[in-house]
Amino acid sequence: MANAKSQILAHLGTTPPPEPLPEPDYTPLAFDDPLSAFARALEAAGGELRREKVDEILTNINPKGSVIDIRKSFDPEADPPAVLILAARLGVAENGAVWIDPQERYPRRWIPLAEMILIALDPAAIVATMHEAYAAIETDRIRYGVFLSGPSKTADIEQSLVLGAHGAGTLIVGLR
Amino acid sequence: MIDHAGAAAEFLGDRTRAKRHDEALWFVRQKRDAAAGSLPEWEALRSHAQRIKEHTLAHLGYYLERFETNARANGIEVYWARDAAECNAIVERLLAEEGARSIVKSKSMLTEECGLNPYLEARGYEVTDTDLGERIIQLAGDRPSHIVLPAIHLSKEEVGTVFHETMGTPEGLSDPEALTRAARRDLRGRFLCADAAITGVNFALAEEGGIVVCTNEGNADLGCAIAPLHIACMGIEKVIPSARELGVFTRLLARSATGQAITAYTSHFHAPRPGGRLAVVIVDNGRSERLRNESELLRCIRCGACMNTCPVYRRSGGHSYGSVTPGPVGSALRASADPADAGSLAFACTLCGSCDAVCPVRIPLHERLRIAREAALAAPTYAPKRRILKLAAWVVRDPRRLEWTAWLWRLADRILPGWILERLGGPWSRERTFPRPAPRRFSEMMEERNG
Repeated sequence: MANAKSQILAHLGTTPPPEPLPEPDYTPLAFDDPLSAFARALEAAGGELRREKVDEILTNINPKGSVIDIRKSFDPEADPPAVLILAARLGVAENGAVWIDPQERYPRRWIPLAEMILIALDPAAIVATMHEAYAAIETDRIRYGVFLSGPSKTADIEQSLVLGAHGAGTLIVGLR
Repeated sequence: MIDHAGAAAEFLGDRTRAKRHDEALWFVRQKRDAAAGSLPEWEALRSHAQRIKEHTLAHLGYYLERFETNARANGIEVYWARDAAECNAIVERLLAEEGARSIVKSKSMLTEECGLNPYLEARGYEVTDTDLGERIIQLAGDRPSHIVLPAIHLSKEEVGTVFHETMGTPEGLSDPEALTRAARRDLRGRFLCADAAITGVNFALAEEGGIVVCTNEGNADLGCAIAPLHIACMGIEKVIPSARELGVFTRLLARSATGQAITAYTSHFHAPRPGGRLAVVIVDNGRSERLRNESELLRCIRCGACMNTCPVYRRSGGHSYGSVTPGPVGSALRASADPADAGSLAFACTLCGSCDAVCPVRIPLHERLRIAREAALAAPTYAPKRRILKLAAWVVRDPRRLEWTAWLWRLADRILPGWILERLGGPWSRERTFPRPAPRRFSEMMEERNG
């Protein structure tokens, strides 16, 4: 085992790179109206942006099953809810993704097991592209985190898009 | 020995299937074009991705070691495997330690390459592929024909038949939505009682010591969040310096693969979940050897764009390539790994260069395949072809020899029966008509025209 590592590394060498990492030589895409761009991208990804507060969305949906809102108090031992309300650190205009980082406050399994996900997003926290997104999040503090772009989906049967392959079939982003 | 032309002829025997396959992949290629076109900086982004990969591959040992150090600091176990056999043995030992019997697996081209599923199944483990496309393939007892769309060669009716026979869905059911629901129900039960989850790795971050897995279904997240043990297998080329570079690769991957702006889930696993274990197996399996003179191929991020655009792949199907990774990049990888197969695969290419034009990390694929052709032509089976090419070169070197040959050709065209001429091109003329010579020399026609 230790042998495998030393043999592989002996092949490759382990001296630090003398030259710095290549820097981007282009200006990434920017948007005049990031919120509208975000809404379009999210819709293309099978999700939906509603320009209202998440609590109002929840009232309008009036779900049958259980609801857990991680912005309020909850029991981390609880079964995965039908509706899971998450708070996004940021949103990405170019692809409709939101960054979700549970920091182990609630179980990771709630995210893929919930039937519906509602996300509270501050419109001021929408960045243009993934470049800005990764620059903004504290990547060295992640334990488990995920960029979610719309609901779980598949097109493995004759390219027909089906939402809710394994995880949530509905993903709605509301405003904070 | 791989016989691409033979296998392709078999695939083309079913014209309906071949047409649907061709059109489905061209549709994906068009979606890719639209997604690429939406970014003004697309071409610069590709070049930047190429430079990052080149930099990382040039200092691969350094970045792998940093990845290991930082991953261990996060509580991740790291193992190294020189080849497929070591990788499979490590995975089995980890499973045995946990007393695991049932395993849920998300897509991993590396474990396909290592033959992990058959290895574990032969030892009594129950392995469930959870990506819908891979699950269809597993239930059908088939092989994947595309790295992103494993079941692209099957029709919905065929999937319906497989599900009817294996999961008891109603006979004749072929609605994709209903079939997907049936698979979801069946797989949900397996997720909930799995002892271990195995995933691949799209990117390993040296600075943060974490791994990133990209899926549309969320099957990797689901498996890892429930099973107590998560094993992630990665090739040595998957490491990148830090999460900052993901800003580049997450913008390229899904746009190139399916035309989506990003996959539905871009999941970061930087530490085991509380009470669980996360083990990463770093596998070489011939890669460090490849680094010497064809490191371009190690830039590949497995998006499948070269397959979707390839006129040969679209019309011959993934199975005709006879290896885990089909299409242009698959041929290039296979041709150098096993020169005996190079002949058939290097010629399953028109050298049109469309693959180079779409590759997000700018791998010069058609150049690799041209080199593979040269190597293949040295094999004894190509001796007649070599002699004919030499003769042709000798003829065209001298204007008089060329003229005599043209005269002979015009004479043959006048006196020989058509069916002989039609067969002169060998296999080439099976689907094409051999061109007929012009009635007079070009120089004669020019002289007449110029008076």
